[in-house]
Amino acid sequence: MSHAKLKALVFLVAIPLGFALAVWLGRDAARYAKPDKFVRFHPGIAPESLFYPPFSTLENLALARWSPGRTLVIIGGNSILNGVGQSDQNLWSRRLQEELGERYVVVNLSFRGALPCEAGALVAETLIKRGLPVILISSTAPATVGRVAGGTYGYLYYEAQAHNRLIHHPARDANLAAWEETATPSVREQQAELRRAAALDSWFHFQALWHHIGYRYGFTTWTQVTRNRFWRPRDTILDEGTDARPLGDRFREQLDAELAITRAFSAGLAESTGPLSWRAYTPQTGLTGELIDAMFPPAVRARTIMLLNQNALYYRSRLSPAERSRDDFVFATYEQVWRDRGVVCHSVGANFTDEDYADRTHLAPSGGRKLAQLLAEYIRQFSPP
Amino acid sequence: MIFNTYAFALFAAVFFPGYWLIHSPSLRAWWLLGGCAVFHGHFAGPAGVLPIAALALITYACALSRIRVLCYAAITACGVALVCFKYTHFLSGEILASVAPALSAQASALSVSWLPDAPPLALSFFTFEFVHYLMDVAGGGAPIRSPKTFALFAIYFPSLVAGPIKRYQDFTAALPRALTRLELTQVAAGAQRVALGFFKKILLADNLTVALGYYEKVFFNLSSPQAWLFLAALSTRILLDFSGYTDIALGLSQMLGLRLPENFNYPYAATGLRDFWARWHISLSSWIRDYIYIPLGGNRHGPLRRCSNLVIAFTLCGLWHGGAGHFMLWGLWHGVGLVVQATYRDALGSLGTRIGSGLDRFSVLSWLLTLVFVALGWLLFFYPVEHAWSMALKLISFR
Amino acid sequence: MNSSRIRQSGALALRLLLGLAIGVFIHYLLYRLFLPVQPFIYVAF
Repeated sequence: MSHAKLKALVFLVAIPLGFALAVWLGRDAARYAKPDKFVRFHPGIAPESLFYPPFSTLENLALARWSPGRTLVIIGGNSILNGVGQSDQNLWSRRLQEELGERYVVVNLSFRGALPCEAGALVAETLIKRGLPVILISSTAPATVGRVAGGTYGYLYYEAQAHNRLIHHPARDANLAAWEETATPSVREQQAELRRAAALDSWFHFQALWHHIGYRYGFTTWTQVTRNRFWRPRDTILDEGTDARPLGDRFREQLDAELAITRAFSAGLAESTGPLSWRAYTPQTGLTGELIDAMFPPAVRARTIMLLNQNALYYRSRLSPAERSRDDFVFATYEQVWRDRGVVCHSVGANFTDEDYADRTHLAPSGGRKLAQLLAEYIRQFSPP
Repeated sequence: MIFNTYAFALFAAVFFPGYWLIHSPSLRAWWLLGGCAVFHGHFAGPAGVLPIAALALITYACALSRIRVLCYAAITACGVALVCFKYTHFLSGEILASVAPALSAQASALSVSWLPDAPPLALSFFTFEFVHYLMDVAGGGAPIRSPKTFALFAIYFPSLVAGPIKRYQDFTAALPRALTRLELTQVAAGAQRVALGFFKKILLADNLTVALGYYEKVFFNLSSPQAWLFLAALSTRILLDFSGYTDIALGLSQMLGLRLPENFNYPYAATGLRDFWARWHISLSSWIRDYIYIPLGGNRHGPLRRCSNLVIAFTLCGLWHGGAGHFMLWGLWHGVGLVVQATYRDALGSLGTRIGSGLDRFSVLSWLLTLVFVALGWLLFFYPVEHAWSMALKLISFR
Repeated sequence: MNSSRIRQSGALALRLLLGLAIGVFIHYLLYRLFLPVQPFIYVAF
């Protein structure tokens, strides 16, 4: 064999060897990798900065402090439970852990913009499937359930599926298949790509490895969040979330737009049957009920406390009596819709003050403390099957 | 780009080992054709495959007849297809709108109802390859008799998406060698080139794309040095993106044992516009030269005709890149630049001669001039005309 | 003869390292393909 051929052969053989080495490192990372001193997913370690923590990382985080005899309290949901309006130190889930004590392990796996059935809910499902004692806490607007695939965090669903982590739930599969059937070709192809990525990842573990490297050693993608420090490892990018502004500075920005949203909040969900008397739009309650059944397997529903988030008092106090009455009716109706599906459900924020809100929806540190106290009570009363 | 998808990764993982393990040239050809068909079918979809298949059939049959009239008819069919699919919205929405707005609205509404949302995948590249083939056959070249070979030429997947634009004579000469005898050194060299291409495209160009997307929104708030840095990044991005893609295409083809024509030769080292176009998207510029500029008369009918041929050729080149006014103007920018470069020495008399000698002597000056000219041209390529004009004004006023 | 052998071994070692690096790079590419070129912008809920 000529020297040129030998060089080519050595080169070509080395390629799969190098790949195999990376796969092996990836397997290791999938077992152990997770952010240090984790409190919550802030923009530096979330999709806003092109950091898409793999499902294995979320699992590792959930189990990091757990030991037999303790109950895992998995926080899912969106920016409200992610503590926008609260700094890292004043995060409401820290207060919740303090309230609950050592018998519980609180892990905040919420993501900004996530649906109640995404991310944290899937981790809870995985751990329930494994037989661990879990309570899922999530929150949403009254009629919002969404779908576990199709959004920014849909990749977590496909990863969990590909790694065989989820409870077999035909209603969810059917619902997602029906949705995809009516989607545009580009959305269908996007979902197919996510499935391919998840399948490949289940064999080659590239998400775990390269996210671990990006977290620990250096990131390779420019993002507008990280900009001129984009190459720095993500463990050097701290949670820069701040507490809510002083009370006098809150609520005045985009006041008209926020008021309009508050006014319209329950408008599409109930119709008037008389003065201060309402009837829910049954197609909507029916659809919400169907989605709850489809997106949350029965075993997960039985271990979930769903919170329905009220808007800030500052805006609600500016509603007309009829609008306020409609809001109250809608919240009560949808609490019942969740309960009829076997989910413990409570509205939160109705008796919170202006001080407790950072803006229309997010809680300030005082609101976070109140939420923690309320939730601790619900958790202590909670008796899953 | 299609190479940066999991679908392609899975396709490659199955296709390439199969190709390498098959030793029979005939079976290998069928495997290659099957792979190309799967690639085209998946990424183009039925709506994208059918028009191309129809054009390919017409091209193959007309060329086989060797009847000039039929070849020209097929060329016309390719041209009509390209205009219909790619330029209807531009013609009805922009050109017609400026003279007959009401008619334009009707035409736009009609075209939206019967045209697909996007033109068939790589239509521009298909039509240019078919036109080249038909023109050369009409000019006396031997047609491809084998339908299998023609199909491979038409839908050869490494160059299907965005070139380089192949010449059928080179392709059909190289194909039997590739099918019969695949060297390990070729596969290794190809793999290396593919890796380089992905490095340029994914690691460098895509990062620049995201950064540019952010900074273009605040361009008018940037300081003058920052604005020029933006322009440099814009120019770098397109080179890395396009040449990176080309490296992937050429590398993949090399891994099959087939060399495709080079498309880039350090274009930003050019010391004149003519030099630039001999280095940038070489397969396209040579196609424009051979099938538009030379048939129009080239430089054979005096300087005035030469200038108009240059302007027409490059305006069409600009339009080929996209059905919008700013692409056309980008082509015109280069056409006019080439005219100026070709004529300024004579047009300006002794001053022109002095300028010319100066630029010849200090080639760094001609390099810098060329670079700035090309870079400013990219503003027209990427942005609507008014926006590009405002950006250019900000840059050249150093504000 | 000796120096030519050393050169050849060096060349082989370099090819080995390059191959390993490209193998690792392909693994990285599988991760990188996943990232959208357009970023997800968080909009306050």
